[in-house]
Amino acid sequence: MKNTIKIIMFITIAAIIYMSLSYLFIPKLNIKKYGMYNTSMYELLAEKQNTIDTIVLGDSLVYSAISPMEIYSKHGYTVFDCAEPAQIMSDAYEYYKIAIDSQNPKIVIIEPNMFFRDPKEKPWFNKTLKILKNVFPLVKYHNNWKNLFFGKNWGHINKGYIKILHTKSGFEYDYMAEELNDNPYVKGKYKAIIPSKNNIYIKKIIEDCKKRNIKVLLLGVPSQRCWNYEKHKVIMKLSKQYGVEYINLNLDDRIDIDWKKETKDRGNHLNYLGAKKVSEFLGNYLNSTNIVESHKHKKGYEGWDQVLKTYMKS
Amino acid sequence: MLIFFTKFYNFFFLIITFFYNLFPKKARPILLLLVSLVFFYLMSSKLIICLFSTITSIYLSTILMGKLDEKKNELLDGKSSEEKKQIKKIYNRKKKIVLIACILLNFSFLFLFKYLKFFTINSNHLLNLLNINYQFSVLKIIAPIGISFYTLQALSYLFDVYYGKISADKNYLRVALFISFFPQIVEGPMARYSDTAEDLYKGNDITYANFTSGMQRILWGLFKKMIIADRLNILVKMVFSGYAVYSGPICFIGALGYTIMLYMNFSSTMDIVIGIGEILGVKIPENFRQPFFSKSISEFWTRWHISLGLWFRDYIYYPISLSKTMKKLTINSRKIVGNYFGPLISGTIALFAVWSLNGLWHGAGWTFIMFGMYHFVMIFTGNLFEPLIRKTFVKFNLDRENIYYRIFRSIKTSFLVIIGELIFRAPSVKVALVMLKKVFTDFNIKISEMSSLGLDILDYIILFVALVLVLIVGILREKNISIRQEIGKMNIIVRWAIFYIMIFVILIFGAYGIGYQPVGPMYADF
Repeated sequence: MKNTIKIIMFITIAAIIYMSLSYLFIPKLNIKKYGMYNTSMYELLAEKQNTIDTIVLGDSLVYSAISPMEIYSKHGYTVFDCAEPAQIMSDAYEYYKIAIDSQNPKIVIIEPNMFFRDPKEKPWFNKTLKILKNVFPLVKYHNNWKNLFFGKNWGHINKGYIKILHTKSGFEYDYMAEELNDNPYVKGKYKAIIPSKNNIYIKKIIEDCKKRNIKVLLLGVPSQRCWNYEKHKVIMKLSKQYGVEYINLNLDDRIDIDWKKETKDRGNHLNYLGAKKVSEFLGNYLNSTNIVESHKHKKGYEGWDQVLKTYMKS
Repeated sequence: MLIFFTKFYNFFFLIITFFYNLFPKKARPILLLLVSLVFFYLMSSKLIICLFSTITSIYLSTILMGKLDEKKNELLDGKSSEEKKQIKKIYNRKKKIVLIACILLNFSFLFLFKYLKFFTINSNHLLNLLNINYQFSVLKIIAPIGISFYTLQALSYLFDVYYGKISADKNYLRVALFISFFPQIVEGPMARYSDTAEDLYKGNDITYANFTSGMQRILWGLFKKMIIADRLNILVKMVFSGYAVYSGPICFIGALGYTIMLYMNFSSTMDIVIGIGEILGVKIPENFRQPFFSKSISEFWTRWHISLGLWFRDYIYYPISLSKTMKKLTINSRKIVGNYFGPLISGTIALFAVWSLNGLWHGAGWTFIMFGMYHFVMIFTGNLFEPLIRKTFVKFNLDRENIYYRIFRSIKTSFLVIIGELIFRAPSVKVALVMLKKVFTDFNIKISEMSSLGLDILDYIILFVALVLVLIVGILREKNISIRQEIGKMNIIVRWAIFYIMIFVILIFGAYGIGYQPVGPMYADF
């Protein structure tokens, strides 16, 4: 009994210390109503209110391919990856609503690969991850010790992007050809069907953007495993249906991914080298829209300048 | 793989810790075995059949050996010495056949999963060189998790029964649990049957004392892994992937970083395994004993991956060096080259076999063979020059146990180990040679390069402080001072404060999350 009390006391004190440290470490620049748990669940909420110009919705393709700090470094535009592994449309819509509530983006970029994902398909570990993020804010933001002890608390360093340096070469074949033979990833006939439930959320996001006068871009991010011509045709049709711009970097000549060096997992996701190319393209694209403006060294964006220094070192 | 491994490992550890005491004592080994098999299945799926084959073949072979021994002893009763000799010869031969058949079966799995690809690729190169227009197809096979560990551990039981050190166990469950116990199966340590089998099967209660002691050991392991190893992983990856652009000193720093990372990662896994053992009341043998305090490479290998060193010593080195042929060779060579160098010849042949196999055990690749040969040459050279060094010290009346000389020897040994680890980590022999050339010829130190290795000044400070702490703990352990016992003597406030500091230091300063890639269980694929 004595030992049981000791264990309970030890855990209780540990939990109190944990919660106290969590409050200390979590970025507190955003609106208060979300509280620290949501901040750790949705990384965007760690950003100062109304500082993000462009949000990118999508799955792992997005957070592997678009590095907002690369774009900020060159152009000074503030972009944030609102992406989660194997994101389903209902979650993407949830993230969009939260983003819109705390930010005032001028452009919303959507990576359409998630449109094809089964709305019921949600790997168990993603659910667990979300719960863990919720329960363990200190675990999520522990790296803020560098900012907390040696500078100010500036929020997320990678702005949703996950930097992967290693390479695992992809295959040498034209995965976007109209007729595919010997595709090392897909056996049998290619499927490119958007589940009807997903169409509801696609419509909701696009229409809400239009209502708010936000430009929508459907951006296909390079992936040998996830993309094929059938999907491209479906998204092309969809973009015409909603009257939104669509660029597919899997087909676009302006970007040339070296699948031998620029993928981390045999052509499924890009590594840092590939992400640099996509980010450079996106930076130039944003520049060409004349919608967003550079915030570099501007008042209210000191956090981005500070984080950029850390990012460049990492 | 890593994410699943960590999740499953933690999950099963929690299951065991929470529910173990709720099970009746007799059911606990079954619970442990079930959890171990489910863990293995989740990691290696259908390849669990290999594990079952190993367990069953070892079990049946040892039982058969035991029966042969019983039969032999029955027949020996009342026989003349000539007849006894004949009976022993027949039954020993039968036992040997059983032993060899079992070894062949288990090594065939090991060969198929670990070495077939390597041999196929090299055979194809050879065919190319010989202008023979034929290529073997290279099979892509994923090995069952921990195959090198559980195979060697299982074989140690087989050998011990064969040599009569222990009796064959008739309890299949106990044998199965000994071979498949999940914390050990991934990276060892390779325990002997007499070390763990009985304790694992006893199903002792998890007591408060065992639980806290085990958790403290696990905490120390997590500190070494998450603060040091996972942080160094960034630097190591940078240097070994971009070695072409880095100067000699940076290549050396990469090798040094890798050596420390390997030690911290591997020894931390051992801390966790031994900690789990402590919680369950099972004394799992130590696998590391402050290796960087070693005065020579041969001593280093008695302190680093101890269970592997002992395995090679007991089942390869001794059987070869003490074989009839080698004994004859020693007797003859003593007459020619004297009492020191005479036994050294047979010892060197056995040493060569040990290091060839040791290199291959670490992996099917030329760098691993080179790694093995490097250590063979280093130990052999050390043995060769030992009399000369001894004489020199006597001649100049120098003390070999002098503290400065001991420190010098430890630094020299560490340097040689780092060079060995550079070969081990390099992706190919060519890269290893390029890096070695840089280390020994390019002394152009560029401080600016240090900042391009993925770590900032704060990371280096954390690394330095953590390594100093590990060094202090190492020195205390070397002096046989148990830190956990010392902390245990303190009052509860100080004691708990120390544990809280440890926990939150790991949580805050640990190299995990975005921007970090934890080091995987390095030996899990072996």
